[in-house]
Amino acid sequence: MYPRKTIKEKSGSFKSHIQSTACCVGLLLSLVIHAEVDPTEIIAKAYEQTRGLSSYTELSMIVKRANWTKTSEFSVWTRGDQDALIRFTAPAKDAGNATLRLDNRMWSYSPVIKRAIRLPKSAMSQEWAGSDFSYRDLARAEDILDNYTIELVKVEEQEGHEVYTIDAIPLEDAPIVWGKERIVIRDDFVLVEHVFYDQELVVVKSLKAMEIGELGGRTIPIRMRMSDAENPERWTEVIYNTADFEASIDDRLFTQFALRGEL
Amino acid sequence: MTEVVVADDMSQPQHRSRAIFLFLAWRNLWRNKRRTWLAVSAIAFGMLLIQTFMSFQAGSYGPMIDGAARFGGGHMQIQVPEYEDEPRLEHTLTISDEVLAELREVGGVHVVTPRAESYALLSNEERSVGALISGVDPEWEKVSSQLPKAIKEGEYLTQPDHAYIGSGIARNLDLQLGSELVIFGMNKEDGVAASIAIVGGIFESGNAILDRSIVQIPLTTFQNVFGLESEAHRLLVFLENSDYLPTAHSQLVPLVPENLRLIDWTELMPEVSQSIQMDLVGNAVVYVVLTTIIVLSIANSFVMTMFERTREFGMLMSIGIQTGTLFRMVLVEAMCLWALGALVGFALSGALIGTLSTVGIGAPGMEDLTQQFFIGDRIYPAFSTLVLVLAPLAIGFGIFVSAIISFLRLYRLQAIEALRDEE
Repeated sequence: MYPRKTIKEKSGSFKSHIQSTACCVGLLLSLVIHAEVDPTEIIAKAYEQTRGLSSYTELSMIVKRANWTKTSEFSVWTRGDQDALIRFTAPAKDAGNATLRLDNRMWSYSPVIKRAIRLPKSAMSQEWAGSDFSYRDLARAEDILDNYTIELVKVEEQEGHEVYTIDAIPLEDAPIVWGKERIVIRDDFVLVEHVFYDQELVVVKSLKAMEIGELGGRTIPIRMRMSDAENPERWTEVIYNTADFEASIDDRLFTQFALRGEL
Repeated sequence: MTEVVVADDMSQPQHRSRAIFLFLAWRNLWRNKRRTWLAVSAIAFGMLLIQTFMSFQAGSYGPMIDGAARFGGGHMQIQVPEYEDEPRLEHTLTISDEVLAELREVGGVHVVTPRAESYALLSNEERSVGALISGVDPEWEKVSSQLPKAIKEGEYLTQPDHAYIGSGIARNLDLQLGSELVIFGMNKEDGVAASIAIVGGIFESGNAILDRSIVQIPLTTFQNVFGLESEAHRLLVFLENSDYLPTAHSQLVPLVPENLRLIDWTELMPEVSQSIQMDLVGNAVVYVVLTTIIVLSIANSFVMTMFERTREFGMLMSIGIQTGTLFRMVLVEAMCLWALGALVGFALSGALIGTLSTVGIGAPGMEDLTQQFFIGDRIYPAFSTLVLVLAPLAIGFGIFVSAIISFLRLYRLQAIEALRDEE
């Protein structure tokens, strides 16, 4: 009746488990997962995999449309699991456009008008920077953990990895447009696939790991593609160029000043 | 017996026999004045009710369509089919000046004007809301759309960097005349489209949804901000009034370039079209019930006639008048009754509708409804051929059928027995 509670209890016990084995290396960690297989924790770990406690990454983004393709570059700074600053560096006409996320609040900045605007909640499902990602997609992890019932549906062996298929169904009163999300994660916490279904459980869009590799000392999906299910000509690829998952980042980066590039 | 002159004697000219029918029928009507007047009043009053209702119905649809068209997107629109399916910024249309000129020449067409549209975020300080940004040609809008006339403060798009915003937006974002308004959206190449506009005018249409969701800026500014060439998304066609809808539509269709589509008002304003449909069906039920009641009351008097005049019919039969002739005579009586009723009905409803069409009727307590459908606060009835002839014809048909059914009994009547009938 209260799936959220059971999730929290489980994750709580799991966290203490982790703490007791904190000195152990990642290999041992994966064995622990193996034994317990808590889907909530798997999702949390998968998101943490590309974020760390604080991180600095540089990415390229390719937006493919029927008639044209656009490539841009941006940098991402993160702090904890809530705060992030994203700033475009290329092409020249987009450079300086930035998005700041603090807790649940988001701002976008445009150098053309030298103004930042606070994004209302209603705008969270809008396309972010003209890509197939929405603003909400930038804050996936917390959404999934807070607003969904999570269920492990399948475990299978693939290329030497155990692969978990997890269904996330929004709680009835959650402000979520999707009917269901299906997340496929490997036992080394690499997100393999994330599929979004509408209320009729028809696939709307899906995020797929196109290339998995080592970067910044971690195994991560280096190239990911979000594609529109109805329109195969529309997709967006995000590629990690450099990554530092243990960067020490100045707190001043998560302020309006940094958003405006005044830092 | 051979010397008895009967109405359907073949030796008589046809017109003469008809005249006799009519003469006899008319005289017969006045043998029971009270019943005749009652029947006539039933027909006339029924007609008055139905015709008045119908004329107000007909009179409310036109203003409803016109109001929705002038506050919204015109009577008809031309778009690329892709924009209709999926209103994305890149699904634009371009139209040559020659085609535009041709479209404007069509009879009943008042204004043809382009609009470009995109949803964007509006922001002032820490406040922000989403709204529809509409790039318009101020000069054409001023003469066709109601929105410029709904101005509450300021002026309508006199400067390229001016924005004309709904009062709801002004309230939600705490904007006054002269305030800076940040517009933040996506341009055609999916880059950021951002601009700062000055609040030049604030409108209050009376429709809360419009007032909190629409921002107009000049089309050329829109094109600059959102990265369009001389493109737009909709070409709005405003008509003189909704009477021209069918003719203008059929004349516009061949003029619209092949890659574009003309969208009729029923598709453009489905909510208006549907509420008209619902109203039509709902009222049709009432009309059918009313007509049935009237016809049944008249049918009742026919049945009574049949009983009361059994002796008379028996007598006529025994002097050699054929049953068919008798039958035709009573049918003519029935139709005379109808004609008289219809005449009185026309006189009454003509007087009433004629008077009301100059003064109209107010609709107290319906302000919300009238604003939602953009009708003025008074409704005026409208005459149309359909309104005028439908009710009398329906009643006439009903009377005709019920007279046939009632008087078919004549064929079962035996002259001798009928003569003995006690009233």
